[in-house]
Amino acid sequence: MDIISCKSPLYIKEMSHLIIKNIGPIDDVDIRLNKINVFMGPQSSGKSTLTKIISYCRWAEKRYLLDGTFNYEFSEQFMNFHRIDENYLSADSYFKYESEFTIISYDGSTKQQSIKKKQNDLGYQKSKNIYIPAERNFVSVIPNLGKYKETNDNIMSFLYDWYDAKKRYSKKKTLPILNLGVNYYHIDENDADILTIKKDKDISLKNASSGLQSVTPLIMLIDYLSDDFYTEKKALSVDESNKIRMFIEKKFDELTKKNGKDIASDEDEDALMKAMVNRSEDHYTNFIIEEPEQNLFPETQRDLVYFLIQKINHSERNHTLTLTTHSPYILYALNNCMLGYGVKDALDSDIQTELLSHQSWINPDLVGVWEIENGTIKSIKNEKTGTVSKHYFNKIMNDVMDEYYEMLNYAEL
Amino acid sequence: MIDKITELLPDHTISMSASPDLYIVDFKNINGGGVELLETEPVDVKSVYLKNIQPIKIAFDGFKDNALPTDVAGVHNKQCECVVFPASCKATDWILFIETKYTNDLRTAFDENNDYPNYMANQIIATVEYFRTKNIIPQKKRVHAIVSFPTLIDEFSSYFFQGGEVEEILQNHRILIRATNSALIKSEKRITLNSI
Repeated sequence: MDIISCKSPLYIKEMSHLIIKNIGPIDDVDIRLNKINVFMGPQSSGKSTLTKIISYCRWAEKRYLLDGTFNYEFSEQFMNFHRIDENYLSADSYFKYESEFTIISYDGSTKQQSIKKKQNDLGYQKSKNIYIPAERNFVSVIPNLGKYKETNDNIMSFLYDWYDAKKRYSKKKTLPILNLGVNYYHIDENDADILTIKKDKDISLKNASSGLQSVTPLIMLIDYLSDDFYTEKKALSVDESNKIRMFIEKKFDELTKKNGKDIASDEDEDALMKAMVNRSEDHYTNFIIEEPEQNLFPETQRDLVYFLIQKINHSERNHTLTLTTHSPYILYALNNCMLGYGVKDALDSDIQTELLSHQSWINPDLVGVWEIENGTIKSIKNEKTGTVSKHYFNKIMNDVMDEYYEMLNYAEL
Repeated sequence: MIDKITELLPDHTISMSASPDLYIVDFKNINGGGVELLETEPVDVKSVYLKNIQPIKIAFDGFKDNALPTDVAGVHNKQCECVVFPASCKATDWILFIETKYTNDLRTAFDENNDYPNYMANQIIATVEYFRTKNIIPQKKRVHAIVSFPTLIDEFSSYFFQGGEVEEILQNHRILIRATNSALIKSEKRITLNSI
């Protein structure tokens, strides 16, 4: 286990190992996940398939470790929940997700999934998992969505979180939308989503620009689930309390049996107390976001990345962030965050604060950036600099510029 | 064009090749040699690559030092590294001028004091103007040019000319210039400065 210092006192680097073979557009993926994971690639290359598998495995791990059993149907909780087409799976399909606490796998030849616990599940911390789908704009444009809460998929799950989050913002406590000069607030009485533009002009979110409709739900959920969510007291259900009690009793028996005594040592007692707290409340959020750049101008994409990295990295909690993107601007902005970390010691403090990214600088070791193309995956980080390879940006730019130069041949200037 | 070069620049040597793969290397700063055209990819030396898909027969003039004498004794014109063109020498054929710089770090390539984008473009422009003045190529003929950092170009070629210089040079000098390390020879009439 790698331990890397960042803003939080200690960050235990998540290095879950993920292998995927022959699922949808993916032929072969073998990666270790990081605190920040970015998947770049053309349309239909398998980015979302990959992040949906990550999302499913994290959810399955949480349920298994907290409930003590896992009796969910794969087809229901993975295929239906994430809207995966059945043709994506074949007899050759396979995935395996190995974290610090569990090994979860699926074998297409038997159509069976398997979940195994590792020895150290005492240290497991309950996490909040959120999948923010590309279709998120709908919460901005369709009124009274509360009445549609009837299916179980990642869009409706997102809807529940959106409803949960927006109640926290009111005219007295508005949510600034990046540095766009726009603030969001919610009116509980009529479930209205309002944006204040130019300080005093209010408009309904459903009448706002497509960019605001896309970015507002995103900003709100990141803001809420990285911070306020953890200050709220949440009551455990009787069932949840019972499960925690049973787990602690079982562990107590195991530990005392191991020690050959009827009472636990002080050290074991501490570990059990800690485990109880770890399982009683959420400790961090795993964010998965599809295409954060949707409908956004390049500068706003940049500011959004800075916001995301700042919220994730500069928190006392060990949040993680996984993104899919088509946008080189997202990668440019991420590069600034990583390069800033690398050169910060060489910069005077006044120069540091002049740089827009300075609150978002992040150790490149905490970031994985991959390109998915033709069914396979490759890291596009330069091993020497730790940033996204300029070669990659150059390739994207030149692919477009080739045609421009071809036509310049014929241009009369 | 071959006849004109031979007549006006008798010290020049024109090589011919119909190889499908052409590699141009400036050995000056590598082993003190000259600019050479190779048919196989050189080992341990980066080059400018021309993919000759048909292939057609091309002519190559690699410039030695002081290759473009002026009317003033002892004074020579600025010059780039070489010129390549179809051996058919028709009026409709493309003509490609190439300027290279061998440097191993981006800092040097982008150092404002070196001003490489302008410097390299000016070497090309001066060479093309010389060829026009001497009527080796027609006055109004539009030509192609590559500026290349063979050791670095893959990293940043799309960023080299950023301020509309490409269009200005095309408009003012009838030179279509691109920072790249390669080109695709499609026919005697067509060459694409690309990013392969």
